[in-house]
Amino acid sequence: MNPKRLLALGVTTLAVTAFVACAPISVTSFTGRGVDPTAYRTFSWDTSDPGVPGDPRLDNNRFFHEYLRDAIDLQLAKRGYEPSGWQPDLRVHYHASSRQKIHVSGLDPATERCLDCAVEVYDAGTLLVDLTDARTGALVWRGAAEAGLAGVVDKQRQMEETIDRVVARIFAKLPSRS
Amino acid sequence: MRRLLMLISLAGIAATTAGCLTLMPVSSQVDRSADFTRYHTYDWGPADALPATDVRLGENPFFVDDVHGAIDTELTRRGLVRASAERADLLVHYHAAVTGRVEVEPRQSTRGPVQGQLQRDCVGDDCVPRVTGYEAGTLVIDIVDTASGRLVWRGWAEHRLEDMLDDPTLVHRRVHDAVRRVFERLPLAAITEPGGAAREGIR
Repeated sequence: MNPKRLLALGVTTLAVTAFVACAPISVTSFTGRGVDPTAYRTFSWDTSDPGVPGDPRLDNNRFFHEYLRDAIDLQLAKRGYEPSGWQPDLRVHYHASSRQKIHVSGLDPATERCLDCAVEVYDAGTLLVDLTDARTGALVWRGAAEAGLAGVVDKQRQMEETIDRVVARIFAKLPSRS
Repeated sequence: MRRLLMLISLAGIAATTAGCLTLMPVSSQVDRSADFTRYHTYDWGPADALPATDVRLGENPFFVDDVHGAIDTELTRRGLVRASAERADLLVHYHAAVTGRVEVEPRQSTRGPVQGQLQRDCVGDDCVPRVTGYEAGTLVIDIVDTASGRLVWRGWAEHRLEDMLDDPTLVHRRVHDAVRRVFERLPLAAITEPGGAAREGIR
C-alpha cells in the first residue's frame, strides 16, 4: 500500500474512532403552544420508568437513575424552579434509552461514491425530559438529547460527567425564571 | 516521513480494533459511600423485574447452576459467609439479559488485482456494508445492602451468545471466567487463591 493511501486509511480510521468515542450531543426542545414555562414555579418528580430499553446495564441501575435525577434537580434549581412535595406546579419525568446507530464517513451523497469509506456501529443514548402541568397533565416543555455512549457506561465517572453535560445542554433550552 | 505515516495509520487501526479484540468486556459501578469491609455475610435475594432475564438462560439449569456456583465461589474467596436472608448483610441476585445487536463487517474486494484485499472505495450499491445481527448476552450481578435495601454494587460481563447455549462445557467455562473477572472489580479483595490457599487481606 502506498504511503498516501496508508495515511488516508489511518486518518479515516482515527476520524471514525473519534466520532464514535466523542459523538456530538444533539439537543432539541419543545414548548407547548401558548405555554410560558416561567409561569410555573415549583416542581416535583413523577414516577419514571426504571428501565432503559437497549441497555441492560442501566436497567433499574440506581447509580444511573439517582445521578440523573440529581443532575435534573440541579439544572431546574439553577433556572429558578423550586422543588416542592406539596401541590407542585410542574411534574418532572424522564425516559432514557439506547440503540445502535451506524456511522459512515467519507460517503459523498451527491455522487454516491465512497473514497476510503469507513463504517462504524456505535451506541447512541437518548434522554427525554418532560415537564407537565401538575394540575392538567398537559405537556409544558420537553427537552431531548442524543449522545454517543462508547465506553461511557463502563466507566462510572465518565457516565456521571456525560449525564452532567447532557442534562446541562438540555436545560440550557428551558427558559429561566431568574 | 514514511515511518510517521505508518505510525499514524497503525494508531488509528489499533484504536479501532482495541475494543473489538477484548474477549469479554466486564465493568462495574459502586456506591462510593459504602464500606465493604463491614459486610461479612450474604444470601441469595430475589431479582428485580429489570433487566429482564432471557428465558433461554434463566431456565437453562446448566447456566443457572454455573452462575450460582461461580458467584458463591467468588464471594467465599472474599471472606463472605452464606447466611439466612434475615441475618445476611448482603443480598445477591443476577440478571442474564439478551439484546439483539448488529455489526458491520469490512467489505472484501471480489475484484481487482488482489482478491480478498480490503476494499474501501466503492460506488452506489457497492457501498452498502454487510450488516449482520447477533445476540449479545449481558450477565448483570447486583449486590444489595440488606439493611438499607439499596444497591451497593453492580458488575456485568458481556459476551456474544452464538453457539454457547448448546454447549454446557462452554457455558461453564465462560460463566466462571466472566464471574471471576467481574468480581475482581468488587472493592473487596480475595483472601484465597482459586485453589483455596491464603492470599491477601480485605482491602
